[in-house]
Amino acid sequence: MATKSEQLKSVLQRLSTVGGIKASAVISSNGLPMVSLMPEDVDPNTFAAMLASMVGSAETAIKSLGSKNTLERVVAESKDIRVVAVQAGTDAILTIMIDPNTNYGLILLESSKASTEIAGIMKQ
Amino acid sequence: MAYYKGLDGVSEEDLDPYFGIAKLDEQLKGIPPKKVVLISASPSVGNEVFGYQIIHKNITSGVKVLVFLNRTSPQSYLTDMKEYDFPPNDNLVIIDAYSGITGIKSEETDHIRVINNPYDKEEVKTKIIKELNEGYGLLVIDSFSLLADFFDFSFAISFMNDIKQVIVAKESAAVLLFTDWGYEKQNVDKLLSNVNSTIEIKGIEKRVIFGQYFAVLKCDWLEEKPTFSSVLFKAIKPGGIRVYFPKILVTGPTDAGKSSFIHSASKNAVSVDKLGGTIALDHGTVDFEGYRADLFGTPGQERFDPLLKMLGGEAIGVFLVVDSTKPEQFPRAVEMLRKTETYGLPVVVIANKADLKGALKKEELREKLHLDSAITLVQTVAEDLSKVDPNEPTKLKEVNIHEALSALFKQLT
Repeated sequence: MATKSEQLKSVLQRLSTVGGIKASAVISSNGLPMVSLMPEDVDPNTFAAMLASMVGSAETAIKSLGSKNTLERVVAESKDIRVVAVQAGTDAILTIMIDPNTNYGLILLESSKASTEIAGIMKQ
Repeated sequence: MAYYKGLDGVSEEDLDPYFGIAKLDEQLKGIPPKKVVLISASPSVGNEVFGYQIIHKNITSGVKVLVFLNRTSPQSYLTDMKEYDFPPNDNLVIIDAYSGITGIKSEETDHIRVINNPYDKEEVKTKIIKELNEGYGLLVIDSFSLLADFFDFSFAISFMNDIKQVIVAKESAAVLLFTDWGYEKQNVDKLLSNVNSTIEIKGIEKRVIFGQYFAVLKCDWLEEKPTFSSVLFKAIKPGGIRVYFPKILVTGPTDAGKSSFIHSASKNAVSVDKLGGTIALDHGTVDFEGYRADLFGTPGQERFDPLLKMLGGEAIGVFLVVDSTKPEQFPRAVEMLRKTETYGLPVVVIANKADLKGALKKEELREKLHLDSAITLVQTVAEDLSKVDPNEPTKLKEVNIHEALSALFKQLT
């Protein structure tokens, strides 16, 4: 039986084969990195903290606007990088860094599949 | 002269070897002569960095170290050590029991002894014992499990007992690096009963904390059992083993100096701020006396309160920062501990701006904050008041920062 982190890593590895996904990570809703597939020069600790606070702030903002559903994803864009954060259950967030000039629809589909899997792994 | 500088800043000087690893040296007081320490890792975690760090600590403080190496070649061993910023020096001698297996010819030098036929039990044994008799402060065997694989477990244990005799006679000490690949339990138990101390290294997956920890399973030279059960660590390149606290919260009322504290304590702090006030969070990584901690700073303004719970989650300790000149904010400070759901965690109170006009004295602060006498209060001041810019984090005096870090790290295990 593979450990949780091995299972999470294999989900990320499969995601990385989707065209346009440059890096990915699973972080806790409290901003701690769990597993990541990232370039070496990125500090996963800072990245995780910032991403989790984006998701937390977006959740609060969307609730204050009266949304009755949970937050699905947060997207941040610059000309060369797009970051997507998807809730994966209550404890974890899946984040992916993608090239903005790729098939965004496919990536969203794959990432939402992956997030369901991650939520399942976290519940074990 | 070996020494260990702990969180108290006291250096204990003597000729004994040390681990060079925070918490281990504090609790075990180094490795006394005549003792054998087993570092036992589960297969998913590496123990080699423990070896590197112990070697580095001792050769740099004047202890002669002999390494029995059968895991890799001396050249790649030293290269790997250098990646952690642990360069070799004259106090290090390596017995090469690896090159003979691969058929590559290894040259004897001042710092490398070669075992020509590593398949020959007698040569292995006599060479290592002869070298030990030259006088070493510490022997490191990397790796003991490979020795057991290469010959068999009972030879490995008898080999260890032979070495132990020399170590006792020469007042030396030994560290065995061991990975438990699933050996028979009775063999492992026998090994454990033959060493003086066992340190276990394992992986941990506790809810959302994924990492590695070490724990002292046994130590026969301490009268009391160490007070820590398991300690999270990270192996950092360069730098080596650091005791690791994944999340420490820094909270307190607005404009108290939370961001200043984080930026002064860490080397790579990041803030999300607009015009001086933090609006989402600060994050910084602290490296201090063999410890590493990630600091998470909260905003102080009340309109950000919905975020506080998320920021406080999984924190294991808190720095509560208050402005010494503003007692009217103290109830808010205590309220923030509640809102971040960190009330009851180890906390150190930082009374910032202690040198400004109107700053309360230590006793007044304690009284106004209703602090229990067990809680540490540290006063901090700006390094240079003339350089304070209200839109930038202020650099606080280093000695204050260190006092605060030591006080909290001591409470966290």
